Amino acid sequence: MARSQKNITGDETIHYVSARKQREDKKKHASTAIQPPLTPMIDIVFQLLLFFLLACQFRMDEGQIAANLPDLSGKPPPKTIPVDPIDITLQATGRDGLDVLIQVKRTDGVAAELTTAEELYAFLTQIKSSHGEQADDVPVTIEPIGNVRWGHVANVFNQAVRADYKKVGFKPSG
Amino acid sequence: MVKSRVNKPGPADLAFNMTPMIDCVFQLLIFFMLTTQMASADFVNMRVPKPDWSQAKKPAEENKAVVNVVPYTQSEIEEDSTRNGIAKEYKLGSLVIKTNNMEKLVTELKKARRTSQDPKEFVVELRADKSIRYDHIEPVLQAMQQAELGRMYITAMREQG
Repeated sequence: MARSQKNITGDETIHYVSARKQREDKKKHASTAIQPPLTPMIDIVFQLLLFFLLACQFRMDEGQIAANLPDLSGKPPPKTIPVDPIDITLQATGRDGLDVLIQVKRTDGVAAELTTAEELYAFLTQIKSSHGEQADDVPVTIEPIGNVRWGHVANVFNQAVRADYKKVGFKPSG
Repeated sequence: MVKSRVNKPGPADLAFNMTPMIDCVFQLLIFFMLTTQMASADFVNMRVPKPDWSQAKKPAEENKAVVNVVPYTQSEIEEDSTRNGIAKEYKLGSLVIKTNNMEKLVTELKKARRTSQDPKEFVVELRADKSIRYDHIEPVLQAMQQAELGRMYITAMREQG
């Protein structure tokens, strides 16, 4: 047990101060701890967090494929077509027209009938390699017919771009 | 000598340690604040095409307009199955254009081009649901041609990674 010790001077009376009293005195005179009020801040933070959790909708990772539009300005088309163009026709097949038949035509008649994008890519790559230096000038025209789904059209367009053709576009309508 | 709390008389002091929870909450809050992009009128909720080995690139943000070809919702298709694959309406920004009013789409595209930062380089992004039939997309392409646009972008999903 700790004992209180005090130096007595002059005519001061000796008082016994218990250890408990000493602790209470010490507590009373101790400096007050200052703490900023955290509760309102936590309230606001929770409100914000709830808002973001409820309002947040993650967006899919979308991108863009560049395409050319046919020129309707009335300028005369070039007199000579330098290389044999590739015409790709898409037709809806299957139940509710959900599938697609891809026909690749060249000036010498129907070149191929395909059903998948991978087949089309392989075919386009093969044609491109046969053109040598002129390969970049080969125009690829896509002609979707009627009720073909846009997903198929975009997929075929993507395969032409993937095969590194530079002049890919849609056939002008009308 | 340290007194045991277990043997302390009276009710026990129950203290809930908030610090780790507040740490986590702050981390989440900062994450959401940094990653959230507020909803834009340009991005109507739809399933855009997802081509195999997609060549779609990161979208350009400036000097373009987005034409959304909006499909009917699943519940609307269930009510009337003939709506499947048909465009409900076109949307240019927040402007709704009916499918039978293509003159308005041409006018608005011309206006958007005229008021753009660089009319010569102005591009329109075609954003359509993958289930829409091409005969409902073709009028939009024709409208773009009539608005004398030379280039366009097709919106598609990007390849992951």
